[in-house]
Amino acid sequence: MQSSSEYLTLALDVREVTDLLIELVEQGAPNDRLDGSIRQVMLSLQGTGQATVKSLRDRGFLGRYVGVRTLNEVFSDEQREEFAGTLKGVIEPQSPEQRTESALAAIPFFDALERRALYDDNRAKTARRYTPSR
Amino acid sequence: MTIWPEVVRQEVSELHRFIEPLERFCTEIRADYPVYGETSREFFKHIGELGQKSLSYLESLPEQILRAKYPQIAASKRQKLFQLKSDWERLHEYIRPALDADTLHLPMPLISALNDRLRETPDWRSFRFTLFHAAEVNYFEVPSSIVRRAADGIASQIGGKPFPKTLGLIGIPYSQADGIFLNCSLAHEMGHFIFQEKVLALAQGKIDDALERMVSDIGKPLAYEELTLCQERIGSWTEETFCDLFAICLIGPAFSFAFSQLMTASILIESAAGQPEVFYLYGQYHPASVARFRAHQRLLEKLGWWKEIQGWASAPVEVLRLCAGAASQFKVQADLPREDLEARLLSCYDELCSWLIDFVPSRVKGHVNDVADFHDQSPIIAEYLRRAIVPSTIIVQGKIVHPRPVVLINAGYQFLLEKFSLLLENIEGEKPNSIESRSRLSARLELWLLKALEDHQLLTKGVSNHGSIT
Repeated sequence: MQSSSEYLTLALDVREVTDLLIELVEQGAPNDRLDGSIRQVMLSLQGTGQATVKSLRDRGFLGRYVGVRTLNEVFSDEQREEFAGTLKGVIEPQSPEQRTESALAAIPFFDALERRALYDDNRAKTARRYTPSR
Repeated sequence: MTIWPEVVRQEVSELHRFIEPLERFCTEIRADYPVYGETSREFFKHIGELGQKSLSYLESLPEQILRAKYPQIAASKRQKLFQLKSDWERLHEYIRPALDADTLHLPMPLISALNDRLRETPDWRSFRFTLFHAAEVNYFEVPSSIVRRAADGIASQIGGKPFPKTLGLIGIPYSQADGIFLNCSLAHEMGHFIFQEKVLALAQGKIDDALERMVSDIGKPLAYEELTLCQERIGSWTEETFCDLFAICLIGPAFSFAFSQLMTASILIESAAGQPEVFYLYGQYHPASVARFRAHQRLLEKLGWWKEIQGWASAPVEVLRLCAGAASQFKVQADLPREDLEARLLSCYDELCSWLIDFVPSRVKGHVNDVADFHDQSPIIAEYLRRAIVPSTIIVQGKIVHPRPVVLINAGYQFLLEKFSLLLENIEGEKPNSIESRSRLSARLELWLLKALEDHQLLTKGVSNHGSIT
């Protein structure tokens, strides 16, 4: 059963986006994959209240329970709004400079999510060791 | 703040020091001893290469961090070290157990038989499995996808090759190398791999449809977090049920008997309705055991097995009979935010369960002749076993037959559950009521069956009733 890899999977998914942001800053090349991932994250950040079942699959890693939970644990409502605004600057920039600045500003948000997911993965591993179940 | 170069180099070298012995374990395997299966070697080769690539990547990482133009990027690249460390820590958990699982410490004839059976479904012919030893006596908690996810995570960060797509990983309790009955649970673990690779997208559609109907019945939308929780719970329960039903299609009721044995489900017999309550609890990842047995019984009935086994005087069959009638007393132990969700979620699961009972046998090929062959051959196999003869070759209606693995395993289980005292009575000096005798000879029975499985492979050269297996 794949249960105890959920947080590790989340951390890896977040890292993929972060690496694409770093690539964007360092090489200056926009990337379709990055745009798609960021749109998914924005959808989740802006619509954390209610959603339809099918729409959850469009939200990537934040359409999963551990993703939502981690997002809610790490960021307040205000921080989520700020995060969404920053991401908008990455996919709809007024200038190439704004795109770079927004990407740089978004990286610490993703790092915070990744850190929390790794922490929770470690905690889940320890818990699994002491509470085996079928 | 400037990061001290020495701090960065030390952090990176600590990870290098951690990965280096793991890489060595995988690349320094001797060709002669211990003997590993082809899939295990493929696994070690992949992890070894990933290790080498990781070590090269780490050589250049300090400069990448120290020369980063922006502090946000430097900090993020440092954090990547922790991600890589977590991934390698995860692989660390499985490398030693995989090294311990050489061919002398695995029930190879059973594994080959399961692999052959799987390949009767043309769509799944390319899938192969490697096994590792688990410390827990628990096949169901060993996650086949964790190693793949961790290895792919490392590969994506350092530019390595992805984990072989057709290679699955299965855990087996280290003490079960020469067993056959409990190891029937391996078929369930194979099911997880098939589900993830071949069924997931279709199942997700069914799950979403069922949940949409549930939400529409509630009449008001659920909050985002509540909805993801429901989707996840139903998703896990559906996958587990798929794997149970898949295992039954692969090896017949023997899977359900093994599960019964693992869960000590015979305690349900003579217990009051709804007791013991743990058997009626839907957990975070697994449906209630009673609900699982209920699904097993329904599928066994559909496949024709139930008619064959319903008269057996044995605990696992009695458990199936009891659970078939269970309809209430279920509880959900899964952090549900609202009480009214429990009954709705369970009815949603029941709907998906009914779909699976039709769907799974339509996907698993090769089980059509199982019941008829079992019906004809099991009394003869039992007679061989009563006389302590390995039933590799038997005579059925004047013809020589090499019983197929599914027939051997289920006939062996029937013999264990119903007729074992006949063997004890047949051997001079054995005491039918002695636990030691029973335990020792049941281990023997498992060895005879493993030998018969091995002989089947040899005698038929991999040709089953259903054609050649390549």
